[in-house]
Amino acid sequence: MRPILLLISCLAFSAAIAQSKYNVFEWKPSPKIHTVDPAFKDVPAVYVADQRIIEYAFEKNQLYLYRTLHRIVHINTDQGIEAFNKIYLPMNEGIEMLDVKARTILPDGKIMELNRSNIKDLKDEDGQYKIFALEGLVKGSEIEYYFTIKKAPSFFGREVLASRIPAQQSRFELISPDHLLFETKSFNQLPTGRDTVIGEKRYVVIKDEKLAEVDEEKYSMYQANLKRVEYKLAYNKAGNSTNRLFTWDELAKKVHTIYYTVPAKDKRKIKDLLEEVTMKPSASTAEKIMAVENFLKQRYFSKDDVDGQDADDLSTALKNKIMSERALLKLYLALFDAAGIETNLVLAGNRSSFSVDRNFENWNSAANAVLYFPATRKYLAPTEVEYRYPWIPPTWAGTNGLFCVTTTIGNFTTAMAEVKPVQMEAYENSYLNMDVSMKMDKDESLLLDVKQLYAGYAAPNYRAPFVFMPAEEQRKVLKEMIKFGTNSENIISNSFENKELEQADPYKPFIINASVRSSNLVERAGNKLLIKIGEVIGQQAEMYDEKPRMLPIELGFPHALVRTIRFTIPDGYKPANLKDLLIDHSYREKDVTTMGFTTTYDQKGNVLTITVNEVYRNTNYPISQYETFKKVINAAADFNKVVLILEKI
Amino acid sequence: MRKKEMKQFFAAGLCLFTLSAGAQSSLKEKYPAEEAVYTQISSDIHFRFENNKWIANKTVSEDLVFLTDNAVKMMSRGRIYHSGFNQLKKWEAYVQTQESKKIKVINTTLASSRQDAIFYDDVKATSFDYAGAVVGATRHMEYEMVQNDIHLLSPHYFERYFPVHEAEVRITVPEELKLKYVIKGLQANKVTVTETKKGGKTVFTFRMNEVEGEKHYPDAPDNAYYSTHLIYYIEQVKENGEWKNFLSSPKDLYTHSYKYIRNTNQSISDELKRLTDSLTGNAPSPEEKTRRIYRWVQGHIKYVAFEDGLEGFIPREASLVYTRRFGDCKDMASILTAMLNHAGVPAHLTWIGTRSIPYDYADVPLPISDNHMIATARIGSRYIFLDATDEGCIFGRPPHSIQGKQAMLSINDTGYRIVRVPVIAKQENRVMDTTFIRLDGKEAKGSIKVRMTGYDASRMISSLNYRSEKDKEDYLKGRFFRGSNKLRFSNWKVDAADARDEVTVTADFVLPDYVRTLGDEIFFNLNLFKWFEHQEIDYPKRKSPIEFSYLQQASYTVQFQLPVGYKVAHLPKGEDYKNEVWGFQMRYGSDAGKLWLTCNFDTDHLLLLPSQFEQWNKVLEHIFPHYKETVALSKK
Repeated sequence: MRPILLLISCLAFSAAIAQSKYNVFEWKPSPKIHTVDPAFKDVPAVYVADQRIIEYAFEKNQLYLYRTLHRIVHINTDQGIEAFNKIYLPMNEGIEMLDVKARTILPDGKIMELNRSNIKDLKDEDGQYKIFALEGLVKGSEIEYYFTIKKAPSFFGREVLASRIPAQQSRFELISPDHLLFETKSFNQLPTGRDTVIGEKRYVVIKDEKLAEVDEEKYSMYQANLKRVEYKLAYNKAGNSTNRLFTWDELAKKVHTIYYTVPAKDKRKIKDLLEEVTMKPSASTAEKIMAVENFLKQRYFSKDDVDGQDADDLSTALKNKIMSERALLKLYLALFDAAGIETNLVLAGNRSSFSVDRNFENWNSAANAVLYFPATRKYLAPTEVEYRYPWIPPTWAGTNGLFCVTTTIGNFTTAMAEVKPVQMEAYENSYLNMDVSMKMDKDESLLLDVKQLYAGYAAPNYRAPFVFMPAEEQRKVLKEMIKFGTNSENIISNSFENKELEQADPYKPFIINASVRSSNLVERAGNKLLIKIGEVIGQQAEMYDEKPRMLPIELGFPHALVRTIRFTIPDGYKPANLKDLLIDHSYREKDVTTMGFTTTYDQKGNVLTITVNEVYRNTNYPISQYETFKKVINAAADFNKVVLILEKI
Repeated sequence: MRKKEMKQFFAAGLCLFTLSAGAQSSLKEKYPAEEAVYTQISSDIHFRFENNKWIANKTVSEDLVFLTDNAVKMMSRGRIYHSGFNQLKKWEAYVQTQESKKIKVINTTLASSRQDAIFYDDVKATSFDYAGAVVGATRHMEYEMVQNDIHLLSPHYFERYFPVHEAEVRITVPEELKLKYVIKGLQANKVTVTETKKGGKTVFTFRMNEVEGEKHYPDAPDNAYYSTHLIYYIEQVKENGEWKNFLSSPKDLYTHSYKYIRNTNQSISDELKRLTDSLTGNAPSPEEKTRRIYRWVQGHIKYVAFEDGLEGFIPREASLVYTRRFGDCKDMASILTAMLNHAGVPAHLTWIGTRSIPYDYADVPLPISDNHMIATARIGSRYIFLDATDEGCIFGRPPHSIQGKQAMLSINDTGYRIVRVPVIAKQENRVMDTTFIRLDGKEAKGSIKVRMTGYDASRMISSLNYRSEKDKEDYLKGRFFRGSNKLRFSNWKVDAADARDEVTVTADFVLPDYVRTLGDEIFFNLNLFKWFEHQEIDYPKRKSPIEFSYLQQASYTVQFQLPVGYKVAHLPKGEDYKNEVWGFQMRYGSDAGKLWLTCNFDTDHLLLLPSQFEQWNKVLEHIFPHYKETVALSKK
């Protein structure tokens, strides 16, 4: 979803100022094999040099962006050859590929340059590429390639410098005509840049070295934590040089003009459409919001690749039912407006990748459209079909969003920007609970009545398959979900509660009930019965054997898990190791349990009730709490292995 | 080679009708559980003589009725595949509402259609969104395609994911052509065929009604093994009043294929000669020469496939492959044959269909019967099949993907031989996995030793070769997992034979919380593995066979060292069970302070057919109860 990318048209800039062409990149005429840092000797491949050059320059009075990527890759292993012998250069949003060169430098110094005729064009449904294969590769050789792509200028951008491939040297350079002043901001310990003017051009250079490879880790946000630099155009000295450009306020105004304006010819249609939405006259604001959302999500859907000249036209969109995200947003805002519900369009960042920064206005980071209703103080995600008010994709919340707040001055209506957090729903409303009653049956199998409850941010992923998948696939998903905790596919009967996405009370959980026979939870040893009671909570994520931690801990959303297990002890037996059921690993801050795994049990007659409480109240935990966090996660995994031994009375 | 293209050009002639509201509700009655139904799919094929050659014109039409909201969303994108060989001439697609209103598709794009193993080819997809669809509406698509090489006519597949109410293929054959056809698949008998004469032309009509939707299973072989499909081809062509063979037999196929390799490797570069000489100079035998050349190509030429038009059929020059250090299967076959021939070992470029193609050449003498090329060396009277695309492949043994398949060896411009590649016996592919456990306090500790031969060994070796040091341990941990996820391995050792046909892996481990103690008793389950658990075949619903990569003998032993002062209080009973499809052995034993469980499972099939599923599941019913058996020890 990139509503914003679409609305930046090429701004006209005074080109009366002296124009220099862009700096054409040139590689060294006679390259040599580099010495690889001992730290990078064991990896499949390492970037001995990785540089990105972004240049804004005029050509025939038009401003363009020239992006050059230049890499020298040292190949250490066969895996490295396989990873780099085929190169895909993305051409997306490019006007023209100005230059592509690639060569192989063999360990004996021989150079094999890529023949241009071997570069193929490829356009698939994901985008457009130049692709080529590198010749002559052996271990110890180096691949060097660069390309310069000419684009219509966007005045924002970012370069992510860290990746799964380590880099010995990394360099970023931003070049602009002297009068266009760009600001940069470095993230995740990347050194900061300063600009200098040489001749008619302004340069910002950022260098870093020995960037380690970064791998994915459990409970972390990968992309958000990679070293990166972002840039934006801040001032145009040829114009009013004190006037900051591309502020959040300016974005809010633009958004307002584009999304809130309904042409007169469509107003009637919107009114008619609203009539079709079923809602009681006495409906509360929240009920009206939900009615409109359900109506639109059932009838229309958006795709981010719908374009064409009438793609944003409301009448066309209503006829086609498939529309651009822009058209869909306009439709939502128009309907809410017609219904008299004040709505702020929020452009949210994403905790898992790029967040909205109050002081550094990179419009590209405000990428996710959310609607905010001041009357209820809650949100709606118009483009996300599996979410319903007030639930939105959780990584869009708990981070800043750009709130476009409508204001009216005289009879002129516009919007002002407020950068503030998109609030998450309270942690206790998101849960994955279980309620299980079980008793022994013939042949030492167990009969289980299982109730799985999914609420809040946890619900959409579980509900969606039962709404959107073909019946056959639904059965498969159900089987897998029931197998989790029963280790059995033998479902005697099952039912759902609150299965539909459209719920009058959006806080009600989605419930799966099932009666299950499982023969895999009981083992016999002589005259004792072993009940694998821990397996009832399902296999748990574990962090028993982790590599040294690199990234801070961050969860998709804070949540709680309550599991109640009631076990009817068969006649003639008694439990011999109840104490093994007890586990307690909690972490408290200021009298509040921020994370924990705690079990209790209680036996009344022949019914043993075990309560398992697990909670993660925060989204983030500092790396200093990593060991504690691991203990809590592993406590759940340990409980999963608890076996109750029953001995004859 | 161009397999995908062949399959994706599902054929379908022109037959357009509007669906009344009544028709839709009867469809819903007929297919109550379905989200959408093709009311008709038809293909109409005509041949014409143009620019001195025969070409085929294919017109396809299909109508799909949406029966649920979900289907409207799921099936909103339409696609037509085409390429240089199958040129899309015109197409039209729209949604037709129940009120007979037509809404044209929007958002049309033309994109390359990529498949994983191929880096670049010229297959394209024209795709579009069906706008304005609602439940009850019909999405209609029709197109016309020119097949400009009638050697490459694509088969018609009758099944789709959703049921097809009426399917029809009509082929009009002029009097100068003779058509041959064969209908394949498990439901082939449901296709009716009629043949009529019309003004010197013969019209063949193939019909299949109420075609069930086809469900996909990840362990099924290619759908050519089971889906209903019509293979049709031109057997003979009349030229100047005389019938000439076109694709009537494997010999004609050879003549056709040979023209692609006729000019390959007329000469090879001095560098490649020098390399070959240096590799084979002191080799004591032709076999050793072959082995060295094969290993060099395997290790140094990487698999990269460019298949643009005829590039999909013509092997590149060996000398070029040598300098590039990459190539596709044909290129690797080219450099192998060139080097072998230079070294004095007779070697032949060889076409072969991988196991994804179920046809023999005599049955289907068409280019669709092969999709791969290898080199075959002849040493005395023995053929050695050499496929360098698989870096882990053992010299002298075919990759598992071509076992049992016919290979077509090119001898000279008219001479060829068809030889069957052997299926490697299960005794050659063994897994012997032993876990040694002892108690240290309350914690289980021990070691594992896993010896593998044949395909298991070569797979293991190549998996390790393509992992960084860091990832290797993760891979081994996952590959040799047992017991519970609390298992922690250390001290990995991998001892691989040079020939890649044998590998032994050892490691130490601790396994906390697995052995239970209660007072004077100790309990533990020797079933550290629960093979086949939850793998019952979906019988009788499943209609597609199950494919196994290779035959195998596997044996898993878990041996437990009795702690001092303890004796065995309960040792479970094992079982040997076998029916006509397969079976197992699970045997417990104890002796001299040790007790153990050995489980043996053999894989005796490359293909398990639906008729065998019931018996297969019966074996599982016998296995599973044993997994619950726990050993009990007590103090002496």
